[in-house]
Amino acid sequence: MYLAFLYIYGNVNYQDLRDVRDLEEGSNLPNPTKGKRMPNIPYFMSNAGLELHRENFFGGQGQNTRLFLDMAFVEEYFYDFEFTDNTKRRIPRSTTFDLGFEHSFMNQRLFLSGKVKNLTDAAILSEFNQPLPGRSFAFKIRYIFR
Amino acid sequence: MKTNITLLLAGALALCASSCHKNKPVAPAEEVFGGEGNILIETTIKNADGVTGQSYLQLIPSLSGSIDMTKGIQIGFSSTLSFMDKYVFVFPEFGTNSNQYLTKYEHTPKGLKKVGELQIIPNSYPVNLSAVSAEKAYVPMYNLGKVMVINPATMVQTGEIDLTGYAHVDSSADPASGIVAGGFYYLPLNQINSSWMPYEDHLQVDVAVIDTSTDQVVKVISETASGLSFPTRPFLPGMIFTDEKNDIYIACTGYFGYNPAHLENGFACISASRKEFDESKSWDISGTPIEGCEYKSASVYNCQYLGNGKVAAYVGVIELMSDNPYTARNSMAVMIDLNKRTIKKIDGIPYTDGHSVAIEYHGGVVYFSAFGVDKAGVFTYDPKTEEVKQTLSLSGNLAYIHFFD
Repeated sequence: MYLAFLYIYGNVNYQDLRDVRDLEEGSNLPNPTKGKRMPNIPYFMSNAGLELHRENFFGGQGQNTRLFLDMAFVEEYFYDFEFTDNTKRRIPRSTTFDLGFEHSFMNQRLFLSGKVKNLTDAAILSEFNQPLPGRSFAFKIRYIFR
Repeated sequence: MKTNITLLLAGALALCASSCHKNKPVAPAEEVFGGEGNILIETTIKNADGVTGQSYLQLIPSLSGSIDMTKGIQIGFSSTLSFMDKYVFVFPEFGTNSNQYLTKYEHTPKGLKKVGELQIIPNSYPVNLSAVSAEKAYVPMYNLGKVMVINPATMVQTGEIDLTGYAHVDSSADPASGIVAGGFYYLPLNQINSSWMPYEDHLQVDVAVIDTSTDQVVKVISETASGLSFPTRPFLPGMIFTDEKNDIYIACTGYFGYNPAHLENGFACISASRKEFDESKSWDISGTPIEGCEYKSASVYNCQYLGNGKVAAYVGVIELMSDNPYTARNSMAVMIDLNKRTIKKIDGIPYTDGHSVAIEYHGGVVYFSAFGVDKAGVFTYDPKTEEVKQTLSLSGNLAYIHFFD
């Protein structure tokens, strides 16, 4: 008997976060950043994924194999409150893919899994403009006592 | 038929001319930014913590009205500036958050044009530039305790002066804001500890005297009698100046008013003829009453020499301090008379925080930037009439004012 062999998911998130303070901190002066989009927080992002499942794909009993591909998209967003038309300090748009597999034995007690993160080796930056890792590999063994 | 052939020939010629034109390199349009005008300002919009935010460089035609910040060039937070003729040099912000370049812009009638840059040692914290000639300038690296010798025309480093041997306890003597006079570069050394305060066992004013023809340190002179310390703030060139006798005065910050046991602050003086401190001219202003208020000065935060012994200044006041030194409005505008040894409060300029302590003297008028509770922007002070006016309004801070004419 097979589990559902295909699983697809996706989500889209848009958030409009803005500075609503009327006055500059500790003063009676108008807040120059009022109404501006908050920096360092993405405002538009989405995720999507595809998973393939198969029981006993390599034969035997009590085994399950899973192959998956995850995609993450973050639209360009602001590093600072943006005032000027001349200079744009922004975190660039990024799209990344992670490809992985998981194979379990003994009715989901022993797991072997591996993942290639950032499959396309895309250049990506954190919300504070710090570089994040390029393509990387991970392998994991997990055993559940029950 | 003849008409058709003529048309074909004309089309072919046009195509040829067009393709020939495309093959010619097209000169890029001159890119200038930062608005237009002969006055350069640096504005800062700080976050509530006072130690982060964003800063902008822009030109304006006059210090009046309000400012349209959409024309600004974004630079590192509280980046420091130096000026040389029609050029402005923009230094990286403290730390490693911004690009580690010293950037040079040219002031043009249409705006600021980027004309050069020099990569710096990351986190070496170069803060200012003192010109010796059109082809030579000194750039102290505060964190490294060394001085870059550069050609400001080509933006190439040509040498280095090592001051680490003169550091007290740690590895950097913290070279601050210097002045070139009489063939020598007088470079005050802040000698601060890891808390950015003077060492308790080194309350003195140290100045490296460097021969500008050889770039060699001739000597380090010290004023140890008055208890003054922390000579000049590295990003404020007005805190070291020469008077009409060519004596060099150095404004000393001390502990910024944050150590009640050591409130000494004021002015030390180097005799031009002897190249040594004249201790008789040192003036610790912490005990001097300030006319027009009950406060006394706990620190000199910035100053500008006007001539005839008159100095426009911002002084720190203990009673105005708060828990956050970066947002406390503890700076008070005063006029100081070095000859009469008097200090007088300037009424009408609001108490301001440390991000708005610019002072410029131009056309017989003193321009103060201030960030008060109810008013912020630029205030003018006429030394003759003592009249104060707010000429420019701004919701943020204003760190530098420079007149190109």
